[in-house]
Amino acid sequence: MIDLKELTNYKQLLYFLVAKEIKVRYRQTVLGGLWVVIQPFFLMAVFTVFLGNLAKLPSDGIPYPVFYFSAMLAWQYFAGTITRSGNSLIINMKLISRVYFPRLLIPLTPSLAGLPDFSISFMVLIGIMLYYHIYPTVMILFLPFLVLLLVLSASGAGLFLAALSVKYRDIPMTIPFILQMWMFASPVVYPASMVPVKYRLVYALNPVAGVIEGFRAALLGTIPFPWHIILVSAIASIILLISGLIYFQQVERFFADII
Amino acid sequence: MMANPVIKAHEVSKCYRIGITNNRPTTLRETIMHGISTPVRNLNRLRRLTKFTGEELLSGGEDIIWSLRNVSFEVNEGDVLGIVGSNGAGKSTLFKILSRVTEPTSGYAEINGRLSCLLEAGVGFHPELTGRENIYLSGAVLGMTKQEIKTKFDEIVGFAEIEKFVNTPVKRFSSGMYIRLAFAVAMHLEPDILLIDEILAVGDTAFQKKCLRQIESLAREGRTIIFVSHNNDVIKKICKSALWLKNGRLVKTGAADEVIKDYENM
Repeated sequence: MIDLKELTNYKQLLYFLVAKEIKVRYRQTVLGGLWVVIQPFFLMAVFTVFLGNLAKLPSDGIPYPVFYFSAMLAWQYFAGTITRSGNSLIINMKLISRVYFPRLLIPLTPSLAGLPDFSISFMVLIGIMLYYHIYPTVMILFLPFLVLLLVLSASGAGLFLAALSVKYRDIPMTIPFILQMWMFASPVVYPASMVPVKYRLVYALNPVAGVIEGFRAALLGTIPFPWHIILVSAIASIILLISGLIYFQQVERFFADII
Repeated sequence: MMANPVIKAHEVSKCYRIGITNNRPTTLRETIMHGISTPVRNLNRLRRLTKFTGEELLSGGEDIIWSLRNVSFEVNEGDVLGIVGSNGAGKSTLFKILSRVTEPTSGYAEINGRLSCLLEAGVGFHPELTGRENIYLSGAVLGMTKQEIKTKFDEIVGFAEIEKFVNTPVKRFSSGMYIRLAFAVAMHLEPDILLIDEILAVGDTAFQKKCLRQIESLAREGRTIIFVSHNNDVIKKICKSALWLKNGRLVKTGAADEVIKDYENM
């Protein structure tokens, strides 16, 4: 179905596209890479004051800043990747209508280009954890697997939105809205333990839910490692990615004609 | 040497939808109904963009246009072919099909070898990136490997005459410098087959001559080149054969002198 041999022929181009995206993001800014952490840091502060201290939402017994930042880490990557990936084909319209290369490279670029930012945020999280004397559990060994799930599900959703946006310019308008809904469907500002047990596996169909709960369990030791939730999320994210790929493959031959 | 076709186009046709809108409402009642049904009509219109009915394809329709119609030709290895035709004749569409940017509606094109297509200068350039970074990026976009770009880097910079500005973002380049850099990258591609669309329309005379010399030297190396130009003298000078397109149809192919003569006397 997917021409893997052709994709490997273009891996240098993918490298250059990813490098471009990373280099361009903070060009001509004063704070540069600091922007990676400024936004989640302020959100964390706002959440801590309003949702934590004032609204007194539960946080599985974890200090609010750590509780929120551990979710912001995954959520920022997810939301950023989907936004950039969903808009990527329209932004690269000229490239698509002028040169041939596997179109898949364009929406997949943000998935890879977001990883350095993710790593920086991760360091900050470790710093905040140390400040509160919270130490990761041995389950931290599963972190790479959780990050992989995050990358796969963000890529899958991004592929869908990007492919649809070529024909329907409604998509770029709906992405911020979709993400807002999606954030409330994920345990970002509340713990998954607030969701009634009988709905929890349905809840886990949202891949981000499994990833964030896994992150908190592995790093903060809030709850025992939630295997069942992560398993459901893993299956959901693989289905999302595969169906995204199939849809993309079906419509990509029209891209240059109708974008 | 046996003639060895590296490009074989067989009955290539390409159909596009123009997007004619329906009659405007005149009465108040019509206007209201029209307003309410807009999303449905929009959805249908967008869905039809990529779908053509059999009837439309056979007997034509007012909403479609044939950008290319049953165009067949072959290009042998080492040929330098010129394409002439007025605006809208289908030249760029043909290039897009040969380079796989788009698929033909019917017919097919076979390509043997590595092909690079220059439809426009500066494809793949990003304004925030420096001259150096853009050489690598657009080189990769146009099909060069990193190693090839590295080897040719100094030559490209020299050709574009931008030695002092390799570390300046190209958004600060003068338009002349920008165009020169874009062409310099393109002129140092080494594909088996090179498609060049109207490159001589820009740049100053001296630089145009330099590009032309470079194309001639690529041709001497035995590369297959297809060249679109509105400058008939240039076609006669560097192309052995030529192909004349008119309203999507092939009018004449043959020796460049003869095709150009007929084209000019049209």
